[in-house]
Order: sequence, then C-alpha cells, then structure tokens
Amino acid sequence: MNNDAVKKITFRVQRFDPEKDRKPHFQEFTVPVKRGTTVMEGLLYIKENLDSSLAFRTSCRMGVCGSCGMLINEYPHLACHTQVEEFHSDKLTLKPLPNMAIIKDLVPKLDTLFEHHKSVKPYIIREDKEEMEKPTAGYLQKPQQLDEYLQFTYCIKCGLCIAACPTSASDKAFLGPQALGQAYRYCADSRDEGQDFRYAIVEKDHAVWNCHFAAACSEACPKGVDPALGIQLLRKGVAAKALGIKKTAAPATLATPPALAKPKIDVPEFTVEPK
Amino acid sequence: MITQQHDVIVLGAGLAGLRAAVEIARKNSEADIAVVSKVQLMRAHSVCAEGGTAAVMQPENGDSIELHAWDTVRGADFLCDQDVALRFVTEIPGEINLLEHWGIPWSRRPDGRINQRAFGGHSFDRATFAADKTGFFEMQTLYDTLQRHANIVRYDECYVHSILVKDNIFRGVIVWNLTSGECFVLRGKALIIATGGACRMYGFTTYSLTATGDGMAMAYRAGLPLKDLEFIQFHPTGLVPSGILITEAARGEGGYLFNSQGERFMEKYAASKMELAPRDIISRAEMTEIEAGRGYIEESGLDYVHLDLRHLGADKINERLPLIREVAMRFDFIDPIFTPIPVRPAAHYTMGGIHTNIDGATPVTGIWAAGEAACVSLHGANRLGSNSTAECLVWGKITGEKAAQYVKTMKAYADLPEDSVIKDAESSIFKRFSNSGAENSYALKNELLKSMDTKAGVFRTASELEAALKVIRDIKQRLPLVKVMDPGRIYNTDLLNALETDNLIELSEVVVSGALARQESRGAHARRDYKTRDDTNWLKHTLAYRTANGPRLEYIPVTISLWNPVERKY
Amino acid sequence: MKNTYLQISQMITGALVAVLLAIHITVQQWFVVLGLLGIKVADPTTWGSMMERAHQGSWVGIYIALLAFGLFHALNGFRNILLEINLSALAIRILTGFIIAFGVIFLILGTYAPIALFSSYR
Repeated sequence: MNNDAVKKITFRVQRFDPEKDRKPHFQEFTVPVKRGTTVMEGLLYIKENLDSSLAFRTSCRMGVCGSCGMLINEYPHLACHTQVEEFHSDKLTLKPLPNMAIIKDLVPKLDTLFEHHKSVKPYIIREDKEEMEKPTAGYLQKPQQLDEYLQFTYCIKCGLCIAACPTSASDKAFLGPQALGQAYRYCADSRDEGQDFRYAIVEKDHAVWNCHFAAACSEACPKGVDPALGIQLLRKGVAAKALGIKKTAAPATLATPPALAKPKIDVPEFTVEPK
Repeated sequence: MITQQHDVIVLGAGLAGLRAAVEIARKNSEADIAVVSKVQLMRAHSVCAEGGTAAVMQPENGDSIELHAWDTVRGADFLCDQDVALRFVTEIPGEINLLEHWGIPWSRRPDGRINQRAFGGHSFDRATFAADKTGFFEMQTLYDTLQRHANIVRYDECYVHSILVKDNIFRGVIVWNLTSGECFVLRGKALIIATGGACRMYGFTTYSLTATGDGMAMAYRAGLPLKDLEFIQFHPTGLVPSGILITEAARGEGGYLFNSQGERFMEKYAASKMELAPRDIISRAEMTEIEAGRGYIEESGLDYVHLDLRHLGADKINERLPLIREVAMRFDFIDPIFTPIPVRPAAHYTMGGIHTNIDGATPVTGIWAAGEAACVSLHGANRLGSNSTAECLVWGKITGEKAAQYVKTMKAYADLPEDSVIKDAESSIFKRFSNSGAENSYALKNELLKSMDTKAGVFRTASELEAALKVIRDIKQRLPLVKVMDPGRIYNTDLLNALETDNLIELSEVVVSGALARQESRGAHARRDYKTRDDTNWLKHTLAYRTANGPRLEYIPVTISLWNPVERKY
Repeated sequence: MKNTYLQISQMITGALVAVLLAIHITVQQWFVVLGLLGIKVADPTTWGSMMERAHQGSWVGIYIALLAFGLFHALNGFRNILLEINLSALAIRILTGFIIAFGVIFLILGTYAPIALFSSYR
C-alpha cells in the first residue's frame, strides 16, 4: 500500500446482545483503510458511521491500558496497536477473547483474571512493618537486581495470554499465565520476603504444575512479557524449596544518605513578609 | 431502584483515586470503601503518563524543596497558591519512597539508589522515573497494593451520572453499571472525585478516549464551582497524526526540536533552557514556527516540527525511552534511532478543575476532589512536566486521609433526597431512548472537537473565542435531541458517548467563557489581543458556577505567601 | 507441598524408568547386536537364561523397581490428565482412591511372582 491509497476492507464482526440474542452471530462491515489505520480505528469508524450499537472496549489507543484485547483472524491482539495491513487480507474476522464469558459483542468478562491475579498476593511482603508504613528512605536495588523481574512488570492485564493458553481453555480453575507470571514477578523482586506465601499458593492444584509449557502465552503477549519463563522459574523455586536446597538472599536494605552535602542551588529570597 | 451503601466512594481509579483508596484502607481498616470506575480498574488514563514524577530526592547534590517550590510557582506564572506549592514539595519525597516500598520498578543509579532525570522548567534533574512508563508503573504498584486490603469493593465499568447533594451535604451518587445494565443509588458518607481531566474536548489530544471529564461535569451540575478551567496545557510533543504523547523525557534525555529550515528554534524563545523550557513556552514557539511557514506540511493540516533523538544513540533510546520507540514504530512506521519524530502541540492537561481548598475539600461537606479533576491551585496557569503524577499521589493521600477521618466521626449515613429527585436523575440517563430526532452524538462531538482545536487552542483571540462559544451553545441545544440507536442497557457505548458529549459540552463552555473573560496572557492562556500578563487586574482565580444561561464567573485571590510575582523569563 | 513432591517424584520416576527400561531392553536384545558383529553369546530369551536371572537377587530388584516406578509414573500421569477436567473435590478423592488401590494391587501381584520364584530356588 502506498501512503494515501484507500482500500476497502471487510470487517466480519461477531455480534452478541445479551438482551436479544441467544447465541452470537456475525455481521459484515466495509471499512476504508489506508497505511497506518489500526483495527481499532476501523472499529471506531464502524461505530461512528455504520452501526453505533457495536460494543467494544477502548481507551488509551496506544497499547498500554489493556482494554482492547480481541481475536483478530483467530489470534489474540490488542486492536489499538495492530495495523490492518499486518494481515495482508481483504477480510478481518473479529471475535471477543475466548476462554472467558461474553458481556456483549467484543466485550469479554475479565473478572476471573482479576480474581486470579489477586489470589497470588501480588504485592511486596516484608518483615519490617514499621518501615513499610512510614518509609525513612528507599530500599537499595541495583540495576541488575531490577532486571531480574523488570520484564514481568510490563503486564497490562489485557488477557491475551489467557486467550492463547491451552490449559486455560480446558481448565477453568487454572490460575493462568497472567497471575503466575505476576507471582514470579514479586518473588524475584529483591525487596520482597513473601516468596513462601506465594509458593504455597502456586503449588496447589490448577497452578504451576498444570502448565503444559506450550508457551503460547509468551508468544501472544503484546508487551514482551514471558509468562512461560516465569512459570518455569516458579517451578524451579518451588521444587528446590521442597527438597530443601533453595537459597534465599536477604531482602534489600535501606539506602543511607551520603554525609557530604554540596551547597544548595540558589533559590530567590522570599519577598513576602511572613504573617 | 436498588441502593448500595459504602462509607467512602472513590470515584475514578486513576493515580489519585487508587492512592486515595489505599490511604483510606491503611488509615481506617474499618472503613467500607467503594472504588467506582467507568473503565476496568487498570485502564485509567494515568497509565499513559510517561516521563516521571518530580520530587526532591537528592538534597545532597544541591536540590531543595524551596527550589522545587520556586520552579513550580514560576512555571505556574504566579497563579499558583504558594502555601499549596510548599505543602506539595514537602510531601512528595515521602510518596516516592512509599511507592518504592510497595514495589515500583524505579530506574536506579548503579549503587542501587533511585535515579532521576531532567524535565522542563525544573532547575534540578528531579523527575523520578521508571523507564518511560512512569504512570503505568505507579498505577500498577497502587493497584497491586490495593489487592492487599480486604475492605475495598470494586465497581468496575460503572458510569456515575450524577452526585446527590442536599443542604450542602453529600448523600450519594447515581450509578449505571455498564456490564449488568442496572441503575442504582450508591449511598455514601464521603465522596472523593478523581475522574481526571477534560481535554477530550479537543480533537488533537494526548488523552485516552475515555477521559472525558465526567467528574468535573457532574460536580458542576451538582452546584460545585470549577476553578481556572480556561488554562489548558498543550504538550509540545504530540505525535502526528494520532496525538499520542511523546514524553517530555525525550527532551529531558537530550532530544532537540528542529523546524523545517533545520534550526533549533528554541534559541529564539528560551535561550537558557532551550528544549527544557516550560511547556507553554515551547508550544507557543512551535505554533509560531508553524504559522510562519517554518513547519513541515501535513496533508490533513496537522503541520509539525521535528523531535530529533538520533544523536542520543540506540542504547540510550532503548534503555530510557523504549515506549517512545515502540509507539513511533507502531503508529508512524518511524524508528527514532534513525529518523526524527513529527510532533506538534497537543491538548494534554486541564490545569483547572473542581475548586478545592489546600486539603482537597470542596465547598460541599463530604466531597473531596483530587488529581486532574480537582484544582487545588498547584499548577496555576501552567503545569510543569512531572508535577501532575506527583500531585495525584500527594492529594490522593491527603484526601484519602481526610475522608478516612471524616467517616470515623460520621456514625450514620445522611438521608437520601426524595425519590422524585432520584427518579429524575435516573431518567436523565435513559431519556434519549425515546428520542426520534436525527441528531447524531458522534457528529456533534466532532463538531465540538474541530471548533475547540481551531478556535481555543494555543493562541486565542476574542473573536475566535466568541465564535467557539457560539458553536458550543448551538451544539448544547441540539444534544438533548440525539437519537441513540442501541436500545439496550447492557454495555451501551452509544448512549455512553452521548452522555460523555453532554459532559464535554458543559465543560467546554466553561473553558471558552473563562478564556474570553480573562483579558491577559498568562501561562498556557495566550491571547493575541492581550499579549502581556496583567497582575493588577488578573492575578486571581476564576470560579465558574453553573446557571441555566451558561457559567457565572466569580474571582478569588491567589495566595502569595513566599514570592511576589516577577517577570517570567527562561 | 503435596503437588510439588508428586511432581518431583514424577520426574525422578520418569528418569529411573528410562534407565531401568534401558537395562532391560539392552539385556534382552544385546545378543542380537553382538551376533551381527560375529560374537556368539547365549540367547537371554531362553527359558534357562530367564530362570537364571530370576534367581539372582539384583535382577529381581531391578524388575520390582521397574514395576514400582513404572506404575507410579503411569498412574500419577494418568491422574494429572484427569484432573484437568475440573472434577469436584469428592470426585478427585474417589479417583485418587481408585488409582492408589489399582497401583497397590498391581504392585503386590507383580511383586509376588518374582519373589515366589526367587524364594523357591532356596
């Protein structure tokens, strides 16, 4: 496609209105696209010009809020940062993410994702309660220690990994790559001491040991997270702990401010008399 | 109609809302907290904040809270309440450490301490950052920390349409649950409004599609005054043509701006700060260059200048600005390592908002406001980059604390207004189902966006503002006639768009009226017909109250407790 | 810890089954391989040769171990597969009971023969 050529593309969209329909059906729309048109822009075009009753989620339109996950030609994508031309096809089929209930049209119910995420204790757990309540300084964390978990923090909770996961497809109670990846993220954080709590959760049924290591999650992730790796590393940690060979480093310590102070940068004198 | 009740209702789940919810949960584990959001909890626009959060973290290297306060006051073109600025700079370092303890992946110095970078208008490199996804990581950290607390009930994808106030006391809100279709009253003792800004009234904007100023508009309808709404920040580097934000950190890390003649034009406008001058100055410089024909021509009219990062090198771009590279490649097919990025000023921030005092309390008992939705008068006429995420954290905390104390002392819920009031509020949501008119909410909204872009942008004149006001009033007449095609109550985004447009039109009327009245140029409000700042007549805040004939404007003084206004030059 | 120990055992028994099975197959087939190379060795599949091994303690041990590890690996693996079809807690308990009973019965049955044979030699 050259820059300004406009092409007509057929969007075949799965529709489902819970107040009217008993099961989903498809509807086709013709959408003009040019170079740079995203699937989301196509959907917005349909909504503004062809059928305003079409329902889908959208917000940031830059691939960071995680609203617009959907199946495009049978593969999970974020609609807002996926170009129409990527598919080299005159027809796109859009469906809501699988492995979840449908609320309406392209809007899936993600409640299970949020619940599973919450269940793995996705927050820093530490013994020094007082410091956690009233911080006196930052904990020290070297750039290498940051790299240990950094990629797992890119998760935007869009649910694409769960849509791609074969285990999630068959086992509804499976915690899923999102939650397990986040469990690893906090275990790998040098500031955290809550590993044992999370290990106790992820080694139960429907968790790390149920992953088939298809790694479909890592392939589908739009932000470059590798949940499959996180799950494998969790397995390694859980097994090492069960065998009593797990080494645990002491958690990060507080930074102490350097003693030497340079003179302050000049600030204009106060010109208002204090009352 | 069903009624639910919670001690505190936090409206909006962006940075300020989540911070407030966490603070209430920490301070009062008895409090029953509802977090109500139009989108799912992690989707708020705060995730789009990129560059950093300003805080004095390195006093050993010469920074000081007085210096941060001075930068903020000067950046605000002296329309900032100085007691507020002082409170802000004192509180924010603690917030940085708190987030650090809660797990945020702050970028680090080699010895493991928190790193900071340069940002526009600051005299010290004090923007604390996490790569170029600072807002996203702050949101994630607060969201994750929220999961620790049991006393929080989520209301995801629930649109709040009106606030119930009687005898100047907060009673509850009317909620439409998008996923179930139910409409109900959510009764509460305290309300914290943290619904973000309203720049979706502009077409070329860095905003998420869902950030439509709903909270400001419903507060305004409930009788609360809006303050300083005419001050709209234009970010100098909105990506052409989408408007997606290219962070100021791109310039903080050393990026240059070039016009089509290959000149680093900021020399002419702010020789000492160059590309790191405050945003209002750079945006005006860019528009001046573009209007003088020294911009690059874009077919749709979005002429632009170049943001050049090539000299930073691949390593620095990949480490410090990965999102910028991803965005430029995904949406513009440009790799900033090899090609300059096309940018122009994009509507980015509403300095104004719901009028609050220094504690974030509004004039109505039981209602607080925080973050961009509020105007605590920190940013004055122009906000400095990296001060907004900081403001969300500080006033999220303060309002959370105050609301937690308040509900401890308030034993009983205040009575709800009469049923007829509630019925009216409900029917005002769904009344468009019975319309037979031909008006279309998308067309009307686009008309509004176009007129705001062209007539109330970086530079303003009386005649253009008057023309904009005319368009707005015309749309306001036609909006109630909009026909909603989708007749259902479940996830009806067609109806939602009409309601959001109601909110935007209400607010744009306040923006334009305030701008028309303010006959001076101050900060982000630049009048071609009144080119200078006028401290004698206009060193005062605008307050807009809703009346049937449009906003009634009043003015209140600015708190000047440290520095008298001086000429603002960079 | 239960799942983790089961999974570790699954991995270890898998490895052990592979080793023991390799010994078994090598012994059963090596005369053929050596025969191809022109070396004549006694046929391990004759009655006499089998009885001879049945009376050596080390071979009895190897076969009982192969049986035990193989049973564990197969039945635990089978259970893992069945657990993916979201059974109720009660159904899981019943299934586990059946599988343990099945394993124990076959272990006893399978161990009885070589031990009886071994002790009859004395």
